[in-house]
Amino acid sequence: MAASTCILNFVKCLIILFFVNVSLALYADQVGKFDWNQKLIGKVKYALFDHSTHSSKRIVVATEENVIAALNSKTGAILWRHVFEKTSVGIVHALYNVGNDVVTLTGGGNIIRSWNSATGVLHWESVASKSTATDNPQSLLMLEKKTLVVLTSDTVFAVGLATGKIKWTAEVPNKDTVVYKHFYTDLDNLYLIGTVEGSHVTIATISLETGKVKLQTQVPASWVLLSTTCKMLQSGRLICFEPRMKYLYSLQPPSGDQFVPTALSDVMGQLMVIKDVSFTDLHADSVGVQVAPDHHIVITVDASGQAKLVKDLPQVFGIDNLSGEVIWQKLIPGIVPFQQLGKETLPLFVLRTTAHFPHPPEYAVLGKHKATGNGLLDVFNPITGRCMTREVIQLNYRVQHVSQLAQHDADFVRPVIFVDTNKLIHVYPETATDVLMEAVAHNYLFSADADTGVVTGYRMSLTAEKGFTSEPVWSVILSKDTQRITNVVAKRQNEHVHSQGRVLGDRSVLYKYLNPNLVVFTTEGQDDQEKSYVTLYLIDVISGQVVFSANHQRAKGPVNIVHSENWVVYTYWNQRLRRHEVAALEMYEGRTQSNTTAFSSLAPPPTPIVERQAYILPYTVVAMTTTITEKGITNRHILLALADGGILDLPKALLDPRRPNTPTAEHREEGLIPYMPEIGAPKEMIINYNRSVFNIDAIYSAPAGLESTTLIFAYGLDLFCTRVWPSKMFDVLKDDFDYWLISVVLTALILSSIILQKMAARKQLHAAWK
Amino acid sequence: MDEVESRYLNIVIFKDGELKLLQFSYENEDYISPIKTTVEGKVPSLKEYTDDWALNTIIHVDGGQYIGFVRNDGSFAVHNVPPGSYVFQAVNPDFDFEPVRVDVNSKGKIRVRKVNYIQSSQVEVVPHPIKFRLRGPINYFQKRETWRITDMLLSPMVLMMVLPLVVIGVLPKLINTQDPETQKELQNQMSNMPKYDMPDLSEMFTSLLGGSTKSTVKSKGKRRKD
Repeated sequence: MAASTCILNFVKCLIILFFVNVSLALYADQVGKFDWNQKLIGKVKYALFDHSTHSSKRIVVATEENVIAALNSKTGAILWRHVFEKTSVGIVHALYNVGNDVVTLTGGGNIIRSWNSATGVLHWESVASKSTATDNPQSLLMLEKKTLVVLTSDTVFAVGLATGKIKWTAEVPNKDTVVYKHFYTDLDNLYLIGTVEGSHVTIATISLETGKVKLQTQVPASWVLLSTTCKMLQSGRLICFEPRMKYLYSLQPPSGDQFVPTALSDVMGQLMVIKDVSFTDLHADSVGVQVAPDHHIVITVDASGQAKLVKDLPQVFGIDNLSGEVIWQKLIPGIVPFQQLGKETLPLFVLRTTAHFPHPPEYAVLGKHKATGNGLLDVFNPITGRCMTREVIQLNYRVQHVSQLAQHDADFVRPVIFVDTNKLIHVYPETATDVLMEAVAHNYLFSADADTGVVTGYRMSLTAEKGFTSEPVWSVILSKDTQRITNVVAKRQNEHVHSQGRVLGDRSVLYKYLNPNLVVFTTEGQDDQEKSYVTLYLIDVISGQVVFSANHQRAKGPVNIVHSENWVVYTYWNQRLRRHEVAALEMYEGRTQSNTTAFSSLAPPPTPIVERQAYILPYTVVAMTTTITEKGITNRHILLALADGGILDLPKALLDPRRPNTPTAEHREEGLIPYMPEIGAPKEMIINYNRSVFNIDAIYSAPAGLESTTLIFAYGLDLFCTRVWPSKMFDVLKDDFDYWLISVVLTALILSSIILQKMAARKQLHAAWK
Repeated sequence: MDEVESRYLNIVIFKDGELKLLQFSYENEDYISPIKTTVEGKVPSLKEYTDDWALNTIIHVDGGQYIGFVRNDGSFAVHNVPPGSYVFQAVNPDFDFEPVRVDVNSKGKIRVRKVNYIQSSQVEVVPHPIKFRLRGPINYFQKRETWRITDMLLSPMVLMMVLPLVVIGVLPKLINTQDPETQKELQNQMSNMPKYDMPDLSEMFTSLLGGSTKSTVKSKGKRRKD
């Protein structure tokens, strides 16, 4: 009996799933109609011209995003691309051109792969299993490019480049005391250069044929540190930089037995503060100093539905959301991002949308100054990218907290407020103090400190001597020594909830717990038995009340969270059963609503009823978001970026914690889908079809001008932009609408009515004459 | 004695304790330096479909934690895999492959089995090296419905409407009613048919509704008087 109902449920589910699928999928002729994608490679680290016999039009590059790619040297188009692991395992340490192949060194220096440079297909690969991974392996091509020698922290090994066979592996001498970072070669021998901190530099001579250590010599160098930057020039000369006294030391091994010091001021002239130095070869025997720039991505969308991508620090880009074309790009000099929960962020604010003609739209990017650490605010027009103020605004304080007010001033600008390290509140634009004055009474701030694990709520006040200040009113300690805060997710400010409740099968209403001040915090940690766990807290950030908390034992992050309306959906890794799971929780006030006009955190309704359910995910989720529409009438969908390159568009109805195990007539009346443990990824729900996007950092969704439509922008290594219609196109004509047929029918009807009218008149006339 | 004990342990490990052992080594990944293994396998050739299949197919281990690349003959290797349990998946944007679970124990021994997320302790071993099974080309799109005249004509509604029309319109024409012989035959048939004592429908209705019609008339009359 049970089995039969189970099967019945399954069949029903299949039917429902099938139904859902069909309503979502794209048609083949819609490819590229309203979506675009860009495959990118990241910041180039190594580049070489392909010298293979087939062609000389290719450039092969390896990048900091762990990508190798071949580019057409005329158009810049990507001919082929390989994405390595996102972690340190995938870092490309070296790139060589050998015959018709390109050779890469990855896996912390022990995986050597040879790629056909024309097709990009793997030719051979080889792993030096005895060699442990290291951060900075060194490698050199030898013997007329027939052998590659690699130096890791504990071994040195040689690989034959014809077949990928490892010729010999040798342990470096005295590997416990000496740190080897450089090596060079002549025709017969290999010279390893190792340093012993504060003492000397060791040069070990190794036979190129057998890998045996022949000789070891020591050169005294009391100034040398583990962090000392050194560079081996092509001529075999070793240059080291000593930062305290700003000296360059050079040595010509193996004959040289003494370092030759040169003061850097002699070489470089006036140098101010040297923070980081890396060397680059200019000529065989000279050296240049360079400083590497940073790289970050931020994005936003304006209210007219035009996606504006603001990307890359210190660069900001404006990208057309119809074509993906870069409209403008700009540099904000001296800006660096903030650190937030271990991630770098560059907050972006929509001060004024395009809806207030003749006022131009206004966006702002906040960062901090590279040198002083003070706030740096750039206010710009998102259409042109031009700065709206005379220059980038230099705030004369360090910004600790930033948030935007919901009210706007007389010029329709929604002011941004900054809290500095002295808890004083500043506002931009400065003229908007009247808005702030109004807001002070009913606006609260909160901060979460990842280091201490303390979440603090602040009240704003106006004092005569200090101006606007904030003072703590509550604090919740989330972090013990064993756990730390990993996510803080508030609801979107511009979200509209259309329906206050949910109609049940018996026609009664279950009211949603719609607390706009609810914020999700997650912590990850390990218990006494070193088992990982994930905890989720729902905290009202005005009163500090912990509304709900859930703990998942033997679970691990990364946790992806979507928080909207009265529900939270989050994913985690179930360590015990080794699978990804997604949990959905929904909060309800009950059959009655305590306050029908507005929600107040200071007079809160009783603790909400929380319904929750978890499901198995047979795939890895890297980013997650929800669709959002202008009025909130349209159904909600969850968008998941998968590790295999797809973007999955999942109806929220599948992640409904009210899904019953044994459905009754009432459940059917309510439209609930019976519970199934697994939430699959039907290929029809993959909105980017075969245009896979990899290493996605986040998905951004924004309401379009039409209620039915949400704009979606996924960004990371690749970019993908599209539109989705969670409840189908109910306010737009479908793109396969038969205009031709309807116009033919209409004209035929009009013509026939005219003709018939004439005929009727004639008949009446005839009848009158009779 | 010791030897016997360890053998016994081994048996337990093989039956269902292995998961625990694997878990142990997995969780303590950071503390002991485990043996790293290379896992090899093969992807079926897709040469008949596309030329650049080897370029576009990659092997994802636990969603890209480790990645393997495919050679022209379909063989691949994933290196430096520490002990643990992983899902290996061949990723190609146009073709679907069945994933497999690979268990690597702390000695570097590899066991390949089918993926079962719901009952993860259930073991259905498949041979090592891995041989990925092609499920087929992926269809991301739904078919657009095209309007065809045959579809419309063959739809049940149309058939229901058209067939009776044919019967009514065409059949009488086929039988020539003007022919005196057939007329005679029809008359004979009619007279031969048994007569049922059927009440006349129109009479029945008038008798049924008669009272009520009268009453409505009456009420109308009353209203007019008022």
